[in-house]
Amino acid sequence: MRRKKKKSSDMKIPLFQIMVVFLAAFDLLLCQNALAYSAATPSVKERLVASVRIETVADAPKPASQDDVGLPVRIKIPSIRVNAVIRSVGLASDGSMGVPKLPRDAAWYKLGPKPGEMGSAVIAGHVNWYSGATGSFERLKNLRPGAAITVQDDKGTLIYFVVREIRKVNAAADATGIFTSQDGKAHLNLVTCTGVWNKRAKQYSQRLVVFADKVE
Amino acid sequence: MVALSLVLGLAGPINVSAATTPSLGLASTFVVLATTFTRNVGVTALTGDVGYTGVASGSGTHTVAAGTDYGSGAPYSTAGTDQGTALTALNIQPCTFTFAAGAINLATDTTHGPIGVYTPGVYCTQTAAGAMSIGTAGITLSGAGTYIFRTSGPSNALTSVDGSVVSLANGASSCNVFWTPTAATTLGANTTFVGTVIDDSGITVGANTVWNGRALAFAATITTDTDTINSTCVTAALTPAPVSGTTPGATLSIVKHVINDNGRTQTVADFPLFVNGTPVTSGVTYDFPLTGMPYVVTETSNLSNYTRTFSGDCDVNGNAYLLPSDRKICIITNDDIGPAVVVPPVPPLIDVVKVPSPLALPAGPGPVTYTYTLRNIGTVPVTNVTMVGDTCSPIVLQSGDTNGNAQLDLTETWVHTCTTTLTATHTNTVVATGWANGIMATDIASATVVVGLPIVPPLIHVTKVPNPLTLGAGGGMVTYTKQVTNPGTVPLSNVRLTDDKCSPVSFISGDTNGDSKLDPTETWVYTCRTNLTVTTTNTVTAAGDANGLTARDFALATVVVAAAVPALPNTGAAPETSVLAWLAATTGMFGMLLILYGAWKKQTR
Repeated sequence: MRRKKKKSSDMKIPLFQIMVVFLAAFDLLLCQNALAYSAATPSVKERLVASVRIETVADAPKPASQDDVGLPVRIKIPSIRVNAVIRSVGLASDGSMGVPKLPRDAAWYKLGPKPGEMGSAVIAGHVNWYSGATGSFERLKNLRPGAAITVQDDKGTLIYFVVREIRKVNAAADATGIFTSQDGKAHLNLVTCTGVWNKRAKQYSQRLVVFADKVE
Repeated sequence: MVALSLVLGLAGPINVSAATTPSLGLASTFVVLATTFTRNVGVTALTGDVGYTGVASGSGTHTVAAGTDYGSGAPYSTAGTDQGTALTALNIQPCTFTFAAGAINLATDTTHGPIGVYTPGVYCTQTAAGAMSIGTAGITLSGAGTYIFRTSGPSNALTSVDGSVVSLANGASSCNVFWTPTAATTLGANTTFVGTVIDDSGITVGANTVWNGRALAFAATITTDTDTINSTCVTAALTPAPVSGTTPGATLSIVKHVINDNGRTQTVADFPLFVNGTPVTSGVTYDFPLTGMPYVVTETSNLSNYTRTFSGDCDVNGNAYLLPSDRKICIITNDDIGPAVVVPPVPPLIDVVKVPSPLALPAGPGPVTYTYTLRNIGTVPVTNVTMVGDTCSPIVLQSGDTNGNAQLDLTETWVHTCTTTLTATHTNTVVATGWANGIMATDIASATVVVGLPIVPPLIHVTKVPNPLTLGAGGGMVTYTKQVTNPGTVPLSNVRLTDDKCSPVSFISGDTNGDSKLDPTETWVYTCRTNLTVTTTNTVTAAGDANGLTARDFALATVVVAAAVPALPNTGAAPETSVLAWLAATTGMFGMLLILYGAWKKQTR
């Protein structure tokens, strides 16, 4: 009997330590949002769609004239399957640009120029949503220079843009270069969140900005 | 075509000009030159030479002053030859305006220009049935120059109805007015008439007619009836009398406009104004002698807190140059310098129209009532409304503040009136102001009342509405829509618009009858687009002419441009995995923990 006990003691597994490790992992799972959307990668299907359906400047029909620009109502980016209703927003209470109230909508900054007007129009969209749903601009990170963007105004006119540059900036960066331009041309800049979630600030650490130019 | 011609407000009146006065030779001294001279009923008083064959006939008599009754004696025949030469010289001058086919009543025609008013030129009827008449309302010949009224064809007469009046204005002279009908001339009784009639078909003058001019019918009969005919040249005063003050003087009004779109709070009273160092009050009109030019407008202001720009009749440095009888308005705009704002405050916009009643006092001094109609043409209610009139007070609010809240709401139209007695031709200016969101709204209206002359002055009114009223940082395109109306009674020629900060100003619509004249029933619409990068107040000036006078109106509009951009939007939520994955992971973890706990308890027993 004693011999048998000794043998069992010799084969003792550090179950307590393993349990502590599991507890820590469990705690992490419960309390920490480890799966950041910014780290997500597009699916194979998304990549395929993006590569096949990308539009070019040459494909675009004659754009609306500067005088005819109406209020923007819808944005489409075929290469990343964005098709969102545009809502007009002003400022949030913290002085930042307002955001759409629904995850699948986009928001146009109504205190700036309209898309197609001279200057930099800005449209923002969510990257994700509280229920885990995706935001309208979730796939904005997959966009590439040369891709086409279409904005429809409330007169039914389509205004075409082509992506010039994609850049990540800090959330607190000076946004003058995003909301204004001085070259006398019409630009459209798209904004969504990226980077790491900051629990204290309740926002992501960076913004993904897509700079696009109107097709003249 | 009309729209094209109106681009930049260069609306051109029908061009009636270039007529010249021919030499009348020896006929120039004759007041009556006829084959047969018949004077009926009473005495026909003639001033000038008289020539006719045989013996003057008729039931009346005639007298001659400042001339000779030559009968058929020399220079009668030579004068007759010269009459023919002058007629040829008149007839070879091309028509500068040709009326539509048929008989023309000069008093009611509106195709040539303002009704009843003619400027120098050659006015022709057409050949077929192209008689010319002067109706009851009469006509005014306005402006220095030659007037030729020609009936074309072989047999088109000139007539005037009883009591009709042909008058001279603004430098017009009876010696430069010529009537050349191709059939007989018949003036009605009690006609007041001017000019030289050359008519070898005969001239018949109705009873008691007063005529400054000549009756030349060397080959025909002239019949008079107790009339007065005077060949002495009569010339109307070149312009209405100066407004007031030193002669020849001019007036200058300084109007202050303040914008606080960056948080400052100063008002008009915080900017003392001066002209050549003399204190003046915003909105008040001052007479100035025409010496010491230019007049320099200055103010006491803190240029580190406010920018300053001049507009209206001042140059960019605040200099005003005055000519005799000028009525100039200088506008100073101060925009505050302060912390940059992201959301621009909405500026107010008001509009004032002023209409005098009556428009003219031809019989001399008398009372005039000005009616001021004030509207809010912006998007925000306007408070602290003031009306500053330069020469009429008190300006009394008669109606319009329907809810009694003392602010000019979007749906309200406030009507003010002011009555004064005018003793001379006068242009009255009112400056309306109001406030909203720290920004001032200003509008100016002027109206001229002519005293002592039978001239109806023109009125013009312009409104300007920018779209949008505010812009985000960096600015953008703004479209100004300008509406020009005629609150008066005479159509306006040569309507022109100038905007000190936007061009081109393009005519869009409104000349419904295509006559290039702004009629009282018409609203002419213009637009102008420009790119604004900073808060801007621009001034549009509208002007139009009628009866030898020019009417002007101003409209100011402010567009506020934000100076700061917003922070970047927060477009992300706390990242989460899917609910199922989360449940599976947590359940697995919990199960593993239970197994481990059981094994550990067993191990430690």
